[in-house]
Amino acid sequence: MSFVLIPTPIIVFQLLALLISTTMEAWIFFRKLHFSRQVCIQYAMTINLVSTTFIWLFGLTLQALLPPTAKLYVMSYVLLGEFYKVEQNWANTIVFLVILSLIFWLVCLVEFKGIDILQLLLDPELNDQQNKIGIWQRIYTVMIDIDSERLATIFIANAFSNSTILLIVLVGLVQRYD
Amino acid sequence: MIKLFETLRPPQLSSWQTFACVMLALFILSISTKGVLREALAIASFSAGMIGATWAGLEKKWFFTPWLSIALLDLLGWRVLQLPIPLLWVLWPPLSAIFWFVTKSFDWGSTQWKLPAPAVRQQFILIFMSQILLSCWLQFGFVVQDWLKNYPSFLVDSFEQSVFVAPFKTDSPFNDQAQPEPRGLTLLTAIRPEIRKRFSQQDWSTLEAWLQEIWIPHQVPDYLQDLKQTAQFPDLPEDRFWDITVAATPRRSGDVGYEMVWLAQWLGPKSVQAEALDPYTSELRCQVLRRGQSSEALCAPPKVVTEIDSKTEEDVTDTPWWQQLRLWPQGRSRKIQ
Repeated sequence: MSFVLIPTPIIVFQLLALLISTTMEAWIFFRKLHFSRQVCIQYAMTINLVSTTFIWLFGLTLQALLPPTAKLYVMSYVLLGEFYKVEQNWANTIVFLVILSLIFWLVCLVEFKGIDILQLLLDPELNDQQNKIGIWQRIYTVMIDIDSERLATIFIANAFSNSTILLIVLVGLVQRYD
Repeated sequence: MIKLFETLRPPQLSSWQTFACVMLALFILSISTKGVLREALAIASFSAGMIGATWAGLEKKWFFTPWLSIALLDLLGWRVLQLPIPLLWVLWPPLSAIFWFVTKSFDWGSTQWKLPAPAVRQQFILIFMSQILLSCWLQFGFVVQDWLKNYPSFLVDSFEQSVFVAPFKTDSPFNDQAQPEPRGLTLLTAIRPEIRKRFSQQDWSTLEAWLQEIWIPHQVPDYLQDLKQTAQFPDLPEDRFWDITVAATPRRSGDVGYEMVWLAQWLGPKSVQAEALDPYTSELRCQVLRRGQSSEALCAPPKVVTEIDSKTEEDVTDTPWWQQLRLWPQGRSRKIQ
């Protein structure tokens, strides 16, 4: 009897996390950004997909560039759920927290600009042939513009949804180690 | 039969049925020929089929048309251009999403490009991002397979603690992976005949002199490299995380000679389960016996020292003999002549 390793646990977890964060963020956008319900759900779903994909692409690229020893650290955690040669438990926790907070800030940044670009791409004005402003010019304008209210909303929305996911993970962990 | 004929009869020259007929004709032609011509005709037939299927799908508005077309295109890329299979799998979902957008932005009536309505664009962005995510998952699966190719010993470990992957048992004949074993065991099995050869029919006094030198475990990197080369054992990235030592102790009973133990220990990452029930450590035991002024070596097949299923918790608490040996100063390297 032989076996293959398939990434089902992370796929199931990610689908669940996407569902939770989409719902919570859509609700917060609806309250704060005053879009219609449908638009909020669409936006929340899209930017969550964008940020998840971004993290995957970032991680996959990073692991391809890592030197063999550093790669072994990643493999150790991904395959065995253990940090290689990190003896103390608190060291594990610190490494984990640093990585998680890094991911959190990256996600906030990607979602903040993602929602702006999404709004631009869905602008009905783009269908207007008379409009001479090029798409790249518009994207550039959007990229340098910072709407602080929107940034705060996205930060709050992410903080809420990620806390909920973390809470669910913790409940799962408590059951596992009980 | 008549119904099939009716369906495939082209209503006009430019229709998907024409391509279906061309595909059939080329297919029949290709079976009746040989060599390069047969290959070329088969590929042409497949291409005609691909165009026909896409056309039919677009005409009948099947929602899966883009995925079908790109899958067929992938097959063609695999057969003709011999592109790597993982690449084709990873490209399949996003290319299908792009193809979907292309079909939506091409106006068949006026044969002109147009930017679709915002609702279609929103739909496209959602489809495209979900397909990219699917690609990432597929790529991650391939990355894991690639890791296991370079570090095959991980397969003997436990994946219970992993939040990323789960083992999936398979008896599929397409899976050529045999029962997983630690690479230390594979290495010892490979070098066993060579060790036997090198320790047989040697001058006893010379042999005994250095068998006495390795009374505690020694690393013998140069000698091991030589053994591996003779056994034509390929190098893998995981090899540098294996600590291979050799030790010899005089036999206490029976024929005069030494018991030589080659021990392969894994220094790489282990799961919590593997820390307790070591599935990695492998050993090769050889009896080097004196035969007059000459020698004879007998080696038992190498084995994993601790089998997961045969070990109970009480056994684990006892310090195994090799760990007692490891209490001696390490890192000595001696070249065996």
